[in-house]
Amino acid sequence: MNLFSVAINEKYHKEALRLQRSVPLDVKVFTEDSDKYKKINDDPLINALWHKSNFANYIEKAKGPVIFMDADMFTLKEDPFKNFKVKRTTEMAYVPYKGKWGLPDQERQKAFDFHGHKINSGFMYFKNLKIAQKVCDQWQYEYLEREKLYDVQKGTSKHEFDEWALMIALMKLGTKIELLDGKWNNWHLSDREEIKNSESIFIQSHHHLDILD
Amino acid sequence: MANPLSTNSKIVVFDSDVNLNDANTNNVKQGATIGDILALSGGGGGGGGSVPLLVADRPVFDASKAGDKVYFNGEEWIYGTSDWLEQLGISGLAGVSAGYPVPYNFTWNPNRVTTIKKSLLTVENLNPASYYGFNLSASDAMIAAETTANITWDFLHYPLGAKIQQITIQAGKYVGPSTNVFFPFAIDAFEGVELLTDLEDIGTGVAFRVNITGSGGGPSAVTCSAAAIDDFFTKLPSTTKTATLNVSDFTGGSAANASIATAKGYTVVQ
Repeated sequence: MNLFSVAINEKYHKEALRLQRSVPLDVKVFTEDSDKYKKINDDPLINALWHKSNFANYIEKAKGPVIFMDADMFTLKEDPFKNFKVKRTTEMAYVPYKGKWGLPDQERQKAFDFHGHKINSGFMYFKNLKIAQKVCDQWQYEYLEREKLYDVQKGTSKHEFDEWALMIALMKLGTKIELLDGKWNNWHLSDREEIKNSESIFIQSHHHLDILD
Repeated sequence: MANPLSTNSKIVVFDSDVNLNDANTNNVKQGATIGDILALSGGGGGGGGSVPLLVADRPVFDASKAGDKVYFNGEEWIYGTSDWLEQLGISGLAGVSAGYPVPYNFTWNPNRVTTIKKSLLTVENLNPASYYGFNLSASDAMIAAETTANITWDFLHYPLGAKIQQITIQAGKYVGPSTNVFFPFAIDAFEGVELLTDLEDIGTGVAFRVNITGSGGGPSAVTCSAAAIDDFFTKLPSTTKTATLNVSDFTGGSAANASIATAKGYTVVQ
């Protein structure tokens, strides 16, 4: 199992360090220090998310499955992947957002209707590096296409983040998807006691750097 | 103890030298009911010395009443004139024109109010059951509705309503000093929604949501009908911001008509 994350900007460096310390396996983190890093956009958020969408192309070799985790994730479990299982035929797996989404633009609405859910890209399983790279090739392209449409006067902005681009990409790829239980990425909790008592395996802190020391 | 005054109670005026124990004499010069006097204030004008009507329901937009005043829920309201609303700084908003009611002491002015980036609205001390207001907590604080009552969330009641960027309604959880206490309130309606011009997703925080993630024993959803949510969508101003309205944790959320809000530029989760 190959664990990977992307951390561009100082805040994410700290969070990635927390991720690495909490997971008892090697987590490789792509940062600005990599030889393959190039600034793609002057906006720090767009720049960071594009590198996330291209993450698999920074992995040169990987035997077996690839798991991507956002830098602001962490676990309190001693052996977090002990019970991780997907079907043999699954090429990619992730935790979906709950609920039905209504969007102000047709392209994203079409993507939602295609999948029937919104994807959370914080924790993603790929069967192997080849599949991960194929997804990332399309994902980074679609992300830049979405970025061209960003116009606050039209209600589209960088705050739609990377996930709609991923959904659009997966519409075109026909990747075999499996949906994971929410315990593999719980992004709802922000209270220290609730996190400690949670059965969730991975927690995503979303900017609460001090959520756990 | 005597009954309090009602609209049928009579006010009588005596000559100054009348014997007050002799109210049935011919010294009584005139008489009128409380209702007669209140009715005098209902014909418009609103300013000066006229007595505003007492009303049981929250005032709603009525162009024909521009300039009138009423008493509602212990507070004086005025159906704003164009000039009045312009002075308040809200005249340019969709749905806000002459006849739009505001509390008489409403003082919001966009040039004087600092934008609130993140606040949680709270309803406190609800008595009687129907309450029309909320306090704005300190930025980022989390305080809950302390009630089991049906409530109306009125974004107008406090003067900062129009500059709120993010609203989180805590699902009946009150974090007490030593224990959690839960108040399963129900939301009947939203008012003053026209003024929510600044709703916006900030980072990963969405513009509007219900928070039900409290630990142990809290409600799994907030009672609020699809009709009330649709009315909220209808009253919202159009937006060019990235603003997500997550109504999935309202009991009526899944049945709400998201297209009302998406047509105005919002993303809706239900």
